[in-house]
Amino acid sequence: MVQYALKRLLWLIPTLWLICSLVFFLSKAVPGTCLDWQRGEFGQSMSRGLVNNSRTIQPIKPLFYFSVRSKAEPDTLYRMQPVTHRAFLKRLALLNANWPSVAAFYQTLTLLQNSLVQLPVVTTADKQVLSYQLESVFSLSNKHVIQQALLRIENQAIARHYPKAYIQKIKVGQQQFKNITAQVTVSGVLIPVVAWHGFDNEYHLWFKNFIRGNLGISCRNQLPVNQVIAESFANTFFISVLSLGLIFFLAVELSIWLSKAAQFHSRQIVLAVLYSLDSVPLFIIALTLITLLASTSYLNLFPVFGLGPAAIPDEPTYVTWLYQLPYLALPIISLTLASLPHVTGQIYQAIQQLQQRDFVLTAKAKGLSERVVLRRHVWRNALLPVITLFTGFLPALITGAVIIEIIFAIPGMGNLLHQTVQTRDFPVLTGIVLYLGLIKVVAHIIADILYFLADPRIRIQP
Amino acid sequence: MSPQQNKTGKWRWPERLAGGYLLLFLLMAVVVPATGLIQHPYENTQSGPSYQPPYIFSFSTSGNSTNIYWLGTDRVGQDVLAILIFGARTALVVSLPAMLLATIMGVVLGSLAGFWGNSGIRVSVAACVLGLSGLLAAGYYAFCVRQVHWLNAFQSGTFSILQELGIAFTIFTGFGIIGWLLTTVAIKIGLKKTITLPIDHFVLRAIEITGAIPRLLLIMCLIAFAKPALVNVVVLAALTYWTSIARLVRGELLQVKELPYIEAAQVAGIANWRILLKQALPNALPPVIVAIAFGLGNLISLEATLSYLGIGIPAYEASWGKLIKGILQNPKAWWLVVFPALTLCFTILSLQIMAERLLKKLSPRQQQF
Repeated sequence: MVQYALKRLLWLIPTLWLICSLVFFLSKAVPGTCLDWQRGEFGQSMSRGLVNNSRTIQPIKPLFYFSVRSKAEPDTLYRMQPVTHRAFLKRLALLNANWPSVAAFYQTLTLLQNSLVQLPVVTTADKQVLSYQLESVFSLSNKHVIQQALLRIENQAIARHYPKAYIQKIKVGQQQFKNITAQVTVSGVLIPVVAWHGFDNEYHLWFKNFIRGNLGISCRNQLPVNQVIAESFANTFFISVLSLGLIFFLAVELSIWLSKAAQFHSRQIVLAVLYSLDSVPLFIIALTLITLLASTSYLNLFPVFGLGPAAIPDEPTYVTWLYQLPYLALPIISLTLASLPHVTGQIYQAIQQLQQRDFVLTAKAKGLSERVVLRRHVWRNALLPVITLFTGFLPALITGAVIIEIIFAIPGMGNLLHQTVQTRDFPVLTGIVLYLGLIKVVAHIIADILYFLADPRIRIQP
Repeated sequence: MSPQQNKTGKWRWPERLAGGYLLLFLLMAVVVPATGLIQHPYENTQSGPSYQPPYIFSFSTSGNSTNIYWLGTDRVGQDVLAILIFGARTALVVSLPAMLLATIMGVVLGSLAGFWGNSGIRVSVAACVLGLSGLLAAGYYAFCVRQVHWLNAFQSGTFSILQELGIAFTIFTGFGIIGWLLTTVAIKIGLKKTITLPIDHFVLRAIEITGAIPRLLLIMCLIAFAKPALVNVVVLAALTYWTSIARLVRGELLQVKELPYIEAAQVAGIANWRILLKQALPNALPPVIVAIAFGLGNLISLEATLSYLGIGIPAYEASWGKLIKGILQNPKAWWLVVFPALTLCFTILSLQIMAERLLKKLSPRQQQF
């Protein structure tokens, strides 16, 4: 048993490592980081030059221990800042495969940008427009569009009587761009090159911290990821445990009640209701409850959003919980309603199968009342499928809690995940994946242990 | 259809209702948008009054409008009926291809794992080495060299991703053929040492890894990286839904494999893959078909949930979930919830009822009711 649990735990480690690494690499592969997204949110008014400068403060590290790249790209391209320039150069290099011309063209463009400051005849407004136009070349990908953009810049420079040397430089740039597309050597792209970057890379740093339990810093509010998650986890845990208890209590009572012979007529109706309730998506249940029981249009019985008071001074914690209970009532009721049909169905079927067994018939023959037979004899033996259900159910409950928390605006893991996804806060995303994966696997291990305790006859086959 | 009906008993009225409803759903989702009778709700420039109650329930004699909104309008005055019909199309466009992809992945991997197990496939070392290096090379040419195109495809969404996938597939096939030719040459030369491939082990680990995170969570995570596009949702949903099908196929094949007629076929010298396709898989399919029906219901529910949460589904697609969300702004507009919720629940319920029906028909002995 212990051996099995250990094996399970050991297997858990590479699984979670693999998934978290996947999230890490995906977050690096996506164009635009958290910072960019924040800038996007706070408005475009910030000047472009400022954005470019602030990124160069941190030294740039290679992503992984080694990299495979095409021979057409230079080996230090990853150091190129900002990201838009890097992507632009990579695009040109991979599509045309002649790096010297690409480098010359890039040099001319940056020279044009830098020498803009020293132009005497140009007003500041014009300079800004021109600088923006030059910068926008880096976001283009189609070669005809780039050529047109360069032509437009030249025409503008001529129209505004820029210095001769400057216009000459623009013309050089155009010629260089023509050179790039003139001699395309596709075979150069096809040769792979492997480069070793050593241990000073981004993944190594991330992984070192990951092992130590330091998941990094949320880029949304600059708090440690562990702290952010711990704050939300408490609420999710509270909701999940309360509704898990309610679901199983109700399901057991309901299935025992359904199994009684006296319920012959109402059984079909209750089963049909449960069956159709099973097909209603959780968010519709929650929304219906909100609209009917918590809005001013119909019955206004419950508070709608949030969790109520965070903590009341001079009162013990359980008083706070009592105040929070009305806020939690609707979420817990919706989760229970959504999961009850499935769980009840399973337990009811387990009980039905047991009723045909010899020991139940013996108990009945002895003259025991139906209540005693069901509660003492049948129920004990129906416990095993219930345990499997109980833990197989935990992930479903977590998923359900995600939707419920978003709908009821409860500051738990689900809401955190939603915000994280919307703002692309990838460090927190990795943390959430890690902890929810942990919960799921631990739930399975607990199931196995409970199984073992409930029925010693069972030999678990690893 | 009638001769089969008699074999498996009459259609009960819920089953007739479910079948009829599904036909209506298909009609609404496929035929009506194609005829052009109803405009796409988000392309309709002339919108009606906002929050117009359904025509059937409005007893006021307003009568001035030429348009009749049978099921009312939403906040911006779009016809709820049109959104319902185009929402049905969206639900179908997401769930059907996703389930198809997931089924293909699940059946292939599940039958590899279940039929050949850990010791069924013996590969020569030469094939192994060549195959692995070919795979790496194909990966390099399909993804590393074409990364610019991939990025463009993911930015523009929809069909350019499929095109890239097609190119990648061609590259992989090409390398597969080259590898196969090289392997035959290597074996001719005399490199004949073989090892067993523990396929079952690999597939089980893959299932476990995918299952380590709750499904909706995984999909939400992955959607954070991709642009909102229906194709992305389809691919990501398929990537998380294949596990249940694979597990089912594997379990069924493990049982079927031990049956006498399979052994007889093996003794008769029929090729293994032929036995799998002709004898074993058809016998393992019934539970898979039922799982597909349930999975379709799940996926429709998933699509509605995602669009309700505003994740992954693009803003210009009509969807039931998005319609339902309208109730939050105006709790009095009950028609924004009642009609889409009813269609959604009826669709899922009908799929479940038909799945039960199929289960009964395909394996009459395992009747549970």
